[in-house]
Amino acid sequence: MPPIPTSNNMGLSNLLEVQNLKTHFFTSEGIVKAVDDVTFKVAPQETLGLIGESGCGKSVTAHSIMRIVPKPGRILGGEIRLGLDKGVVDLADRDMSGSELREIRGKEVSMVFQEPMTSLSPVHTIGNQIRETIYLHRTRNRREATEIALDILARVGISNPDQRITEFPHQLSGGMRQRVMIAIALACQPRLLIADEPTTALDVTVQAQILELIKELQEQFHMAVLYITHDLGVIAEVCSRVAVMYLGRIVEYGAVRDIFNNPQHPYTVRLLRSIPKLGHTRRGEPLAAIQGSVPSPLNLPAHCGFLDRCEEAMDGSCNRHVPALTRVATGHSVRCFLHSEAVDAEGLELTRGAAAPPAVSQPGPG
Amino acid sequence: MVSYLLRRFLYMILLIVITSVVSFVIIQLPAGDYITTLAVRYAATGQVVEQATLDGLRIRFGLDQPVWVQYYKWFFNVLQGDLGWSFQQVKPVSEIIAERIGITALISLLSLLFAYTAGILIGIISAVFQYSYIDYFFTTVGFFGLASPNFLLALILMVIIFNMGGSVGGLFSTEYLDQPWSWGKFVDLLKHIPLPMIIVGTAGTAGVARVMRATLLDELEKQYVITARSKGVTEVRLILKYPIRLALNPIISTIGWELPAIVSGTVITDLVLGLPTVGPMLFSALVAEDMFIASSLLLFLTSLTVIGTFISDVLLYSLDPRIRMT
Amino acid sequence: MATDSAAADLTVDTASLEAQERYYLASQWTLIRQRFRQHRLALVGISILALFYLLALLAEFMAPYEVKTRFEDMEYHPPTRVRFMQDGLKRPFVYATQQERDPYTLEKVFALDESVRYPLKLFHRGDAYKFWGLWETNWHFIGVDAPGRLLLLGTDNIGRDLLTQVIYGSRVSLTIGLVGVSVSFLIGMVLGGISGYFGGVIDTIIQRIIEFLISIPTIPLWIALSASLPPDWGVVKSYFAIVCILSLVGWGGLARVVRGKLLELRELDYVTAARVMGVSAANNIRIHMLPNFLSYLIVALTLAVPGMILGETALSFLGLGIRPPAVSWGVLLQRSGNLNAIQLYPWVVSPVLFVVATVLAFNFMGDGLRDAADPYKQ
Repeated sequence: MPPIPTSNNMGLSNLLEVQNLKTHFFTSEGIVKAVDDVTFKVAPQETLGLIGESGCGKSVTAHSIMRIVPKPGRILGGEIRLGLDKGVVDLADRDMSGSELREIRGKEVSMVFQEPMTSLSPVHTIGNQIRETIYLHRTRNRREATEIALDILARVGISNPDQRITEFPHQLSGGMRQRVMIAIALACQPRLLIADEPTTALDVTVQAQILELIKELQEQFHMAVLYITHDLGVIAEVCSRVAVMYLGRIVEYGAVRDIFNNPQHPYTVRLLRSIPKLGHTRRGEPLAAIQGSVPSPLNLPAHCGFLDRCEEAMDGSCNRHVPALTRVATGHSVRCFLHSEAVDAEGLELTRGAAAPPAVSQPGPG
Repeated sequence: MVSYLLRRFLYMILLIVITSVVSFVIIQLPAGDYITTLAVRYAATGQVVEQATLDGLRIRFGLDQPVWVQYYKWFFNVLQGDLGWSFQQVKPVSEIIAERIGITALISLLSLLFAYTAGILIGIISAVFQYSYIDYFFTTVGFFGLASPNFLLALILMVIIFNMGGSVGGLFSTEYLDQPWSWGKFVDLLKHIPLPMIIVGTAGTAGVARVMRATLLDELEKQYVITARSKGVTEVRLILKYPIRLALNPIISTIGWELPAIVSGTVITDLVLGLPTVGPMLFSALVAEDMFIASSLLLFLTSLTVIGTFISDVLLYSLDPRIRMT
Repeated sequence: MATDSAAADLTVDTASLEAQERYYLASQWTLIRQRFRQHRLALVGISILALFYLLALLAEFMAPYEVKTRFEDMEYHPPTRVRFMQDGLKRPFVYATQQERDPYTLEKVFALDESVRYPLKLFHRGDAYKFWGLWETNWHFIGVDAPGRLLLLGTDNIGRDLLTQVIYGSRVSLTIGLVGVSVSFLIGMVLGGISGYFGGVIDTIIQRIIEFLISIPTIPLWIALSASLPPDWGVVKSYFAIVCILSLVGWGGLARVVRGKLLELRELDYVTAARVMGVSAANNIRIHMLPNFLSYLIVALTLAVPGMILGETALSFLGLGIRPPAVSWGVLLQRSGNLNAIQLYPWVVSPVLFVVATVLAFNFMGDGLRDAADPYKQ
């Protein structure tokens, strides 16, 4: 393995350090390398954006940090170091006991999910579901727990918390439910909040409110946020640094300013170009879309994942090896042979590439 | 809320009235009536009964009137607790069937409890340990439980218990057989009840376990379970509080068809086991065209399931906040 | 450059591409067949059923004896063991048996006479019969020469060969499910179709009727209805009466499936389009909706058969079903269904094995069909 330039800091200056994380799914059709060698850091009180198309592995990364990867999936390697008061723990450590893990879930690290409609149990009251976290991590006293729940509900902007606390999720709107989810996540004042596309399922106006709310609460609670989205606009609004993911790997990583002004990876370049800009696009001119579609994540080829869609692909390197994540400027790294010769993994010889599946997309049935 | 319950209640009453019509009409279907059967029986023993006597009997029992008049009279008498006369035993029907109805209701209720307790437990174990040996074992047993006729299961279990030296058949030891009810007799009844309870409940257990397993497997992957897990809830508590609680709703709605199956089951197994319940009596009354007794028993059995369905509606209503809203 | 590698990819993967191509071009029924073949239990089920129905079809030929044949000296004879060994490997044979009295208990027992062997013969000439009531013949698939007896499942209380009885009985037991389901299907299809297609008040009324039917315990209703059949009805008449009774009570479930699926399909765009274009209701159901839910219908039908078979068994067991001299598995169980007989001669309940096997086979096949019915699911 060649050295990874971004991993040098072993101290506790960061809250979360994910290094060489590998989470694969062992399905009957083959191995899906949903997360393959992912490395990034989150500093205390910072907001890191994780952006990519659906299926690129960003949610699985989040699930790996929470250790809630669903069944055929397994964390195969790497480290997820989390800085706590008592020292550093490695969440990827499979020997970690269940109770240790549960101490961290909901208390040190919380998560808000994409679907507010299904994230809450339909047969338990809002109060019941908020208090559950509080009972687990803060107090066993029912009155105290209710106090905390009412306070947090008020802080996430739910009017009339006294009444809401006795209501069921189906009595609330989608935006309200997401506020409740955020309240549950923040009830124990975690150091890190993982927000997995929290606004994707909501109306545009509600989206803005929720984003605003997360920003506000982050300042109030002094917590770090790992913000997962496919929306570049959201990244620009809430994040200080961003990691661009493509097919289970981080392809570009740096400060939001650098990446927006000076993108280096062809994928990031095209991603930015595909945003419609008011006033910059002439009427009738088609939007720049990225040609092709994401290859099947099954039995990934051992070459650059963006090869088939890349206009700048070079024979001999791009189709033979996986490039390494290489630093191109201070705090800005790219995984592309246009910028560095460094190789992350040797490709298979294409001539005997029976193992390589077709690089065609899977058209929908029917 | 009150209106929902009231609506279901009125619907139940309507169903019972329809049931009573169906029960009465079905019993009326055979050509001839009890008097014909009687005449045939006398003729078989060589006695000659005059037509006038038979007609007299018909008038006495009201059998000469049109069916709808007979139904009308019968139903209004039933409402007042008078179930009519048994021709065979020349006694009021209510007197004959009172005890049997109690025992039948008891066996059905216990079988239902057994089927749901065992079925839910097995379903949970199978779902939580999906594709384990224990799951395969229960699934296989369940398949056979659903595929074998109840009455044969009863016979085979009887043979097994008999060979092990247990007592078989009947619900009472001989010393209590014709005794009036006492504490001792009741205890004796409880000792005899597990066998019919298990036999009748087995088929139901398999059905409930199947539904429970499928629903639970479905619920275990829902997002709210993952939410709870990410809160730091322990796995055992997680499963108990969320998926099982949610899987209960579909399970309770199965009472609507599980209860009729169990009542059906008691009729036939009780015949095999020779239990003093409604089943064997319905059978003999049907064969003898003892119409009032047959109609009353049929009405009782069907009402039992209609009332059961109503109770399951009420349970479902109180368990699911989503229904409560509408 | 990039095109080079793409070309390389293409040449490498033509095989799997072709496989995909085939998948996308395959018709619905091809896919269903492929998926069904992957379901092992369903294949077992369908094999068992094929065997049983073949036995029923060729009953006279397959049964070792004629259905009315009685061996008066052989009441409750235990199953004959087919042997291969006597001073080394021999062609399969059976020993002669003789009824004796046990000198101590005075019970009748059957003693083996190992001095006489009767070899098994294929295409044996035995009891005379009329094949399908048409051709006079005496060919049997398997048998032994008289006075040897081939009683593979033993005999019943009056010395009839149980296997022969079971094979003849399968004609009634196996067809009653199919005929019953056809009748249920007819009622369920018409009423479910009306209910699902028109909706509104008609739907509500039909749904209430179904709900009512489902909430009634079936067996009391069945026995009440069967008891009302005139005792002088013949075999054929009462057979069809029983079928009607079973399906009168059982059509509700099927009607529900039909209605549910129709309600779903009714909302599809192409169905609405056809209606807007003035296609009649009947044609719309037949041309546009039927092909789409045929697979679901077949599944529901398959899974409805076991209930009918179990129903017939129960009714016949009570003496209210199929009437003698007709034989069915339920009738066979009724003849032997008392504690003493089962205790002493356990083989008399062997017909139940056929009931269980058939019911399981139908369930397995139904499960397999259900998984296969939606080939686009994965």
